[in-house]
Amino acid sequence: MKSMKSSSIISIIILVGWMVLLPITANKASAQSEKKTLRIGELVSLTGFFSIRDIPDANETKIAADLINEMGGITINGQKYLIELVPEDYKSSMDGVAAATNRLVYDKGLKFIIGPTAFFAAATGPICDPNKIIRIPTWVVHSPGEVDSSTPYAFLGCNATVATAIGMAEYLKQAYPNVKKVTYVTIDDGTVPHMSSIAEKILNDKGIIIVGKPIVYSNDTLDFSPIAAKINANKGTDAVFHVNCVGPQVGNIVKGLRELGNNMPYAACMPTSLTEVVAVAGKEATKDVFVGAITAGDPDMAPLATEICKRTIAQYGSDYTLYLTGADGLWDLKQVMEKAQSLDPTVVKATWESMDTIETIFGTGTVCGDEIFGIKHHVVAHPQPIQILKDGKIVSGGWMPVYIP
Amino acid sequence: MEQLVPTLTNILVLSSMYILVALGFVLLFNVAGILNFAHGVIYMLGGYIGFAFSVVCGLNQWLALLLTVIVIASFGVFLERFCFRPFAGDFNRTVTICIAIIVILETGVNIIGGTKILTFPAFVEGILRIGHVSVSHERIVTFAIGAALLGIIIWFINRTKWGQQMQAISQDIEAAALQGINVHRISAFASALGCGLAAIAGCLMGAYIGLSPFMGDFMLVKVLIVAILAGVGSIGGVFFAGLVLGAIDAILPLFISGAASSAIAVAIVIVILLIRPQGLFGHEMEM
Repeated sequence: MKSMKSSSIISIIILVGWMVLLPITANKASAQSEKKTLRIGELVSLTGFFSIRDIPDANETKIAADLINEMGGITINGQKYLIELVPEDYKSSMDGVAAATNRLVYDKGLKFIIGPTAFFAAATGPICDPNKIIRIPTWVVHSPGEVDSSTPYAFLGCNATVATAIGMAEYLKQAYPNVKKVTYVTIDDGTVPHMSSIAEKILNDKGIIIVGKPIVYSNDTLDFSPIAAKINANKGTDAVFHVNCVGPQVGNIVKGLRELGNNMPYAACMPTSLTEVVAVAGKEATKDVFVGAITAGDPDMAPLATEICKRTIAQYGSDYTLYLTGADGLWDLKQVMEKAQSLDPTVVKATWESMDTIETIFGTGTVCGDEIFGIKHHVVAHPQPIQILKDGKIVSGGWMPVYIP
Repeated sequence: MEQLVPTLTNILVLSSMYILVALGFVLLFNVAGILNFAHGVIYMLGGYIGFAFSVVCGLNQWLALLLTVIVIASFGVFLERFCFRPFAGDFNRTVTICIAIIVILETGVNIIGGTKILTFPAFVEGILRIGHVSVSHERIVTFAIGAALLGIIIWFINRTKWGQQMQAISQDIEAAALQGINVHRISAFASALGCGLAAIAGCLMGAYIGLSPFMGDFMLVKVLIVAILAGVGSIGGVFFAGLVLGAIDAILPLFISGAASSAIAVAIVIVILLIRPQGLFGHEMEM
């Protein structure tokens, strides 16, 4: 009787225990199968002069986010997170960057940000770093405060000015072995004292020297003929090496040079397509001009980048500019978060800094740039695409290996 | 010599474009007293509409240019009638209206075609080579059209009834009205003429350097410099001031690097204004 009583008590305890524990375990299982949303800020110029560069890149980043979500999102400790991009327009101005970053950080409480582009990145540091907000610029031009020792939470997830210059210098060496002396051209965007010496070292490493002083043009230059005349007057050079530029600037300088009878090879270290140069200068003048852009339909492109390009073209048309720099940064962030198994920016930061390689959308990238950027393992470099004009058609010129010291 | 001829061509091409756009700005100011800060975006719009006619619709470039001038000149009449005339004499409201026009047109063009680099098809192709000197036909034609138009405008203003009425209004609007001149009609005509000239410059520069939704911002700065340098009320001064600025912009980058050349260009203009506050050909304003 006594044993029956005690077994009844044990049974009741087990039953009650089941009744209490079952919903808890069930909830936990359901929570793990239910996908949560991870909101990632995106600083993008939807208006103003820089929107020409930012809108296509932002559209491609959205396609990459959708692709990641289709693949199951980001998995942290068994929990799946779908990415929701939260764009903020920084209106092509430094003030706009600060205002948009404030909205993302303080109003929306986001911990991760993709963007902004180039020199605009410097305006995010004073807001993001004290708040431990990780941001991944979609390009840097190597001016102070973009990604360097003063920006512990800024990571560069794509090839930018330095990596592109390294890849372009390698292509120049391979495709034009007779080129030994170049004219160095750049825009006056505040990077001249920083980038010129780096470009000189990059070229010297390939056995090429810069002749004369850098030819620097103002951001508000309307007519590039005087710049072309200046390049033409820099005698004794075999090629032009143009850093930190955009398509119309290159197109106008090339047009001016060809008009002067100067047919030197022209390396334009930019991620924008040759179509922009052809649009301004014409096909005949664009011969021997090459850029650091990706080419749709390139059989050597990594599958993920190929898929994003395919979807972008399907949605926006075949002549759409393909940057994929934001998409690359987002993909890198997913890799690091999953390796860190955390959404804590401090843990993600430490994990990124501990990695030597990372799978980018363009294949395996190296986490490097310690010497040039002055910060350990904050920069990712992947093989550099080259785009050339061959037989009147814009085609891939191959992929150059890149390692940033 | 090798450097001299291209530099001279640059001076002439740039000057003629600055003068074409600035002339429209100054005409409207002189006749209607309106500082049209949206003049830069009208120049930009001209380039894009020309592109639409020639590339999207597939029309001949010259026909596209003509149609563009008609469309933009009509737009100029619309602007004068509905955007400027109701606020005549009210500087603050006129500036606000201009800012609204700039934002609407720049954003609109940016949304429709801003993310692609477009150029108006070249009017002529090829390069003229004489010895070591070479100049593209495109630049010769750009300058030739600009120069021809300027000649026509000078003739129009000085020799025709409408031109003389414009001059009369710019000298004394009340006296002109008392003489029976229809001030509103002449203002609308000046606006149409000014916008039409800006449209031609937009198409020519669109073929020469390419199109951008924000190309008008840079041009507006140049126009303001030319207008200020020329002096208030001086149409003749626009020609000289345009030549001075064109020469500065074409020569300075050869000797001075980067943004410093732009800064020095503005500094030269400031020095000229310190010596002649009324501008090169302007008259002293009575306060």
